[in-house]
Amino acid sequence: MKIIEFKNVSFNYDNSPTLVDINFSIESNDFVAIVGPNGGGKSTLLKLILGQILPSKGSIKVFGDKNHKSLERIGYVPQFTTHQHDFPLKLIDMVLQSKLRNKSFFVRYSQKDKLRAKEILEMLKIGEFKDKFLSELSGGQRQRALIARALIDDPEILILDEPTASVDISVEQDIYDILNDLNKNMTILLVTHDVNFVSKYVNKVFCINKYLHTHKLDELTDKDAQEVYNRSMKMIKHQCGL
Amino acid sequence: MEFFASLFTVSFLRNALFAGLMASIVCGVIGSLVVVKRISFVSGAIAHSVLGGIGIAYFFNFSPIIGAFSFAIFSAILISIIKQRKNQNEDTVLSAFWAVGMAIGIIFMSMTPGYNSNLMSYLFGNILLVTNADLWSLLTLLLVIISTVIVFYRQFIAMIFDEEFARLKNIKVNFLYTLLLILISLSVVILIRVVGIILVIALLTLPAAISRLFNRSIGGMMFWASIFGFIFTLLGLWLSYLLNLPTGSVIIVLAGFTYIISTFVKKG
Repeated sequence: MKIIEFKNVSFNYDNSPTLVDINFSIESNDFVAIVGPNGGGKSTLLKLILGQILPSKGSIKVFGDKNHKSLERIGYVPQFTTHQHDFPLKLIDMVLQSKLRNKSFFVRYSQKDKLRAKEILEMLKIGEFKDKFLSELSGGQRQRALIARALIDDPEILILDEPTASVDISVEQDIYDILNDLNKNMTILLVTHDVNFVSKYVNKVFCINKYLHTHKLDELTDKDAQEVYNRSMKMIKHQCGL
Repeated sequence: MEFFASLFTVSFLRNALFAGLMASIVCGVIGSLVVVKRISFVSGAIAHSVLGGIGIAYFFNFSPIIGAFSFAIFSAILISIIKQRKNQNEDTVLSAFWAVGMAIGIIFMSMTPGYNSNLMSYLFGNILLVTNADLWSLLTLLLVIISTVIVFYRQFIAMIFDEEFARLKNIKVNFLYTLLLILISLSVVILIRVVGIILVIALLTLPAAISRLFNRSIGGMMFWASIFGFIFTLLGLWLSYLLNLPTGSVIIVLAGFTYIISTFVKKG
């Protein structure tokens, strides 16, 4: 099943083209890495998927729908730098925000939502911090919290914007392992700088630098053959201008 | 002590006390939202543009509270629309609001006899002139503000924390932002009676900012900001009575010094 489909999509900020003639589709259970230089259009692509901006040309379908009516089926994990780190909110309350809808009035969340939130936090190994405030969490815990917030609403696709940008290497490994597990049940789309690190998990790499090149890693029949692997990585990096 | 006894016997002091109490609750609740959303400048622009409405009300001889009220809501909606257009010059537009609103107010007031004393009382507030009728309208506004915050609490917090994410969940972010600005304008209308337009941003932000230093939850922030606000108002009333100084200014100086001292205490 096609989860996301771009056909001949172009986008211009003012008069300069940011994305030109983008074509791709993401199938269910794909694990896609989006790489590319800064300013190459990675975040523009995410904004297009999330319906925050509309394409200048071409068509975008998310869950087969052109009008972005199914956005709550997307789990979105933004970069943590976009938030205030000392925002006066408890971990559990931040995570529960995912269950909010247009008609969620008053202060309380349902018992069912709270139990689901606890389950997810346990799964991500941050259950013990549920009553801590965001200011008391480490970078890695915060990043997991954001993933938890996306997951509690049972999304069909998880979109992450540089989830490992502000964490150290062991946490990075943990996060990729978590994503690898999640990938059994859901599609994952990940923006990253580090193509080497993710290459063992993902099956497609999108290189974006105004244009898009797709590399299908599952076509590499023998991933373990070091030489073939190195050559294909080199090629990806070269084409992506990394 | 004579002062504290007269708070309950002398009617203008009693009214001042009640007005101060209501102002403090507003400061605590709305001020906390303003501080975590970091929109003090927006609140300032709304507050100053309100003078336009007051001036027009004086000139056409209807209630200044109604003038202030309609102008505040008008500018809240307009500012929200400007923000939604993602205007690069948002701060310039806000400054223009700030200045033009005041200018309109001053022009209309200057065409109305006795404008000087009125102008001063709206710019710097005069808590000692609060009437019984004022108190009832303040109470109504206060109830509207509190109940709106209670109903939309979770949505407000989600919008303030992460607009992008809230949008994905179908939360009406633009509506909530406009609503928040409208609540701020209602608060401004209340606070003008106490401290005046010039000082209203300080009373809206300082108690909440102090409270944020020592509270980790928004609920705690709101509660303690209200307490701080009330202490400042009470002390301000008393000191200004003793020293024969303008009450609004004394309140703000107290709040400002407490804020500066608390940031040092917090660091140390």
